[in-house]
Amino acid sequence: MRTPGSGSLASRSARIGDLRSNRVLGFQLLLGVGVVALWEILAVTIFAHRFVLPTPTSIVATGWHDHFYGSDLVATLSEASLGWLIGNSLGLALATLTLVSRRAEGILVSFGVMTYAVPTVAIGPILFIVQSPFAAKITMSALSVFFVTLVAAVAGLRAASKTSLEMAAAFGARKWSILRRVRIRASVPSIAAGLCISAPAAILGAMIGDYFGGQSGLGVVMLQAQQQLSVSRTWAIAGVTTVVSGTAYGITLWLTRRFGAGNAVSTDVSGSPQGSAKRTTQQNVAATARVMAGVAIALAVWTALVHLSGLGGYFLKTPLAVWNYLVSSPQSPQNRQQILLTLATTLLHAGSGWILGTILAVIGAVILVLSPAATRAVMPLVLVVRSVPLVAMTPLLALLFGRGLAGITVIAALVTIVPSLVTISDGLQSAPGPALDLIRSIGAASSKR
Amino acid sequence: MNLAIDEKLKQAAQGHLGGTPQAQDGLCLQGVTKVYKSRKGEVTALSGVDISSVRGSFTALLGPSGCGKSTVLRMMADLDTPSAGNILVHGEHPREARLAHHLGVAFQEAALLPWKTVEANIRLPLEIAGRRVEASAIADLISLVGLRDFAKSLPSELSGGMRQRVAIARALSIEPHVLLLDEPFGALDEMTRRRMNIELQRIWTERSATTLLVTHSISEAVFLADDIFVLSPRPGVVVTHLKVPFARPRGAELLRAPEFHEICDYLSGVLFESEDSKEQL
Repeated sequence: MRTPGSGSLASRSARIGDLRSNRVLGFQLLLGVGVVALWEILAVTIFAHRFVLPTPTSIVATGWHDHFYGSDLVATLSEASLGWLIGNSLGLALATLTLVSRRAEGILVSFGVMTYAVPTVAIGPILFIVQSPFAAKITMSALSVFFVTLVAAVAGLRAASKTSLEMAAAFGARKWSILRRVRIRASVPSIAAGLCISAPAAILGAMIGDYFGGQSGLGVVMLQAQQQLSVSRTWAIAGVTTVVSGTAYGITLWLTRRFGAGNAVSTDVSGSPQGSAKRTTQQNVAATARVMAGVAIALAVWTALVHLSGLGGYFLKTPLAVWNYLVSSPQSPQNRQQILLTLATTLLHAGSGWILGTILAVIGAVILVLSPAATRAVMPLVLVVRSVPLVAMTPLLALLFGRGLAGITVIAALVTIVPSLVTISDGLQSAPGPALDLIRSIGAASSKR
Repeated sequence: MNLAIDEKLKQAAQGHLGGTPQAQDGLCLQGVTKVYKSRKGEVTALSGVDISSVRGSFTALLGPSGCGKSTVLRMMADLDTPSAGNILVHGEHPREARLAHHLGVAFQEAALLPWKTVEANIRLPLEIAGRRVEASAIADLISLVGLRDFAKSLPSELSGGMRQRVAIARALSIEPHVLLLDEPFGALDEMTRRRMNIELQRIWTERSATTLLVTHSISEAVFLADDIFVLSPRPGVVVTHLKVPFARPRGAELLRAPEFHEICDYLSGVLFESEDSKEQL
């Protein structure tokens, strides 16, 4: 409540806020300059003559000399933006199906998970056979954003609180009116987050595509630079990619904020209407049935795509052919053994990376949450790292850590750490305000929260 | 004097329980039963509830937590349907009343849309109903609930009490025939709650609508209502109907009057008796 004189108080605290944010900005700048200086020193001392870590100055010089890969940048950006558009349109369109039927939701999400679980690296070569390089890269870019947006939109469409839906109904709103006025509007922040995250993901998808072919693109020049063992060029391309991805993320964030995605902090305590604590056996059966339906749809789409492509069974395998390979043909036991052995290796690498990455992420998130100052200083850095495409990071890590278990573990850990760090610190910070106040009022130190 | 009041109250109570409830034109529930099916079997939440009131009167439904009083309100708002019995609000079936935009509701949670300003939240029911009103009408309503300086604020910038005022203004914006209030001040502290009760009493006198207030606060019910129905817990049945004899407008001084406390004591006796008898069963 406002009391007389609160105006001057408010302006005073605003001024204090300004001072504080200036100080944080200064700290961030200092941190940035410090990191670059340390890097320069390390590069000319410890890492000198090891062809691994070039100096920042030489990286910038190489980038300048190569015109910052302008034409490749344009190629990648046009593929990525088309892929972003197509993938997001598909994701949003499919998410709207959940509005028609709640049952559709489970089926859709399990179908989405399957498209996400198909590694773009595995599907890439096939796409390049079926489509032109340009179209294939767009498809890969679209594939890498589709699931992100689908999940964000599905979650967003059930973000409206139960009481706000009932309130609208009691005022005589029909289903469509509730949808339009409450549910769709309440989904905006979540969808906006999905669109932001998918901007760098689209660039990553297009760059993975570059590794399979095509004449131009950031991934193409990256591949060439690696083959020429041009270390500073590899770093320069990685730098350009990072800046572009970060910018794409930032622009999307800014746009979604402008369209009102920011100011939707719900004051309700009750969760979403679908939050069921325990499932009955019947509901479990139904949930399993929905997952099965999702699998069936995925298999049907797969078979249909193979037949529609018009390419023979040599390049493209139907689900039946895969079944034959793994189960019913005479060579199946051999095939299975081979796959299981390589799978074991991959799981070992993925597992050690996942464990390392998660541990680091938890530690990092706890530090960030305990120290708001650290959060303000480091969060932009985390956002930048989040938008560094993996393709750009991987060659650098391979240079730094080698190609053995250590290198692979570090790569897998880094893949894990950034999303986990962001999710965990979001999760830690999203503890409801009243609950935090309660615990604070009991007198707990910040670590108990 | 005490005895006289006691006698009067008993008569009022027996007047209801003795005779058959006659259909009245305000709120009317006849033989309303609600049975929930769960994994353990059926649970009877309400059993043969009769409630009636005249148009333009303020009715309070009083009972301990979990006695099904919110279910009564939800059924009146057509958010739930009775397993048996009839409900009419202003002579209309709840569904008719709801779709004709004749109902105004406010819940314990303000349920304000977080992206809309106070003003836009209050206008929401009018938008749903497709009704155009002048900006001055909304402004009047905002000053009626004492939020003139906050018309452009977002819900996240308001205190709990202010949010509830917005929710009540929103319920009134549509000029409803029937106003349904489900513990609107249940989450507020005692001081704020008392102030809000005095406010609501003032607002209600200016914009009277047939009102049902669901509450577990005895003094809130006595201060605000013309009729009080007391519900016993599980299965919910009406144990007492009482007419509150105080004239309106009722001011803060009523809260200190001995007659006021007389009635409160009587009702708390009824409430505890009904719980005790349940335990013995």
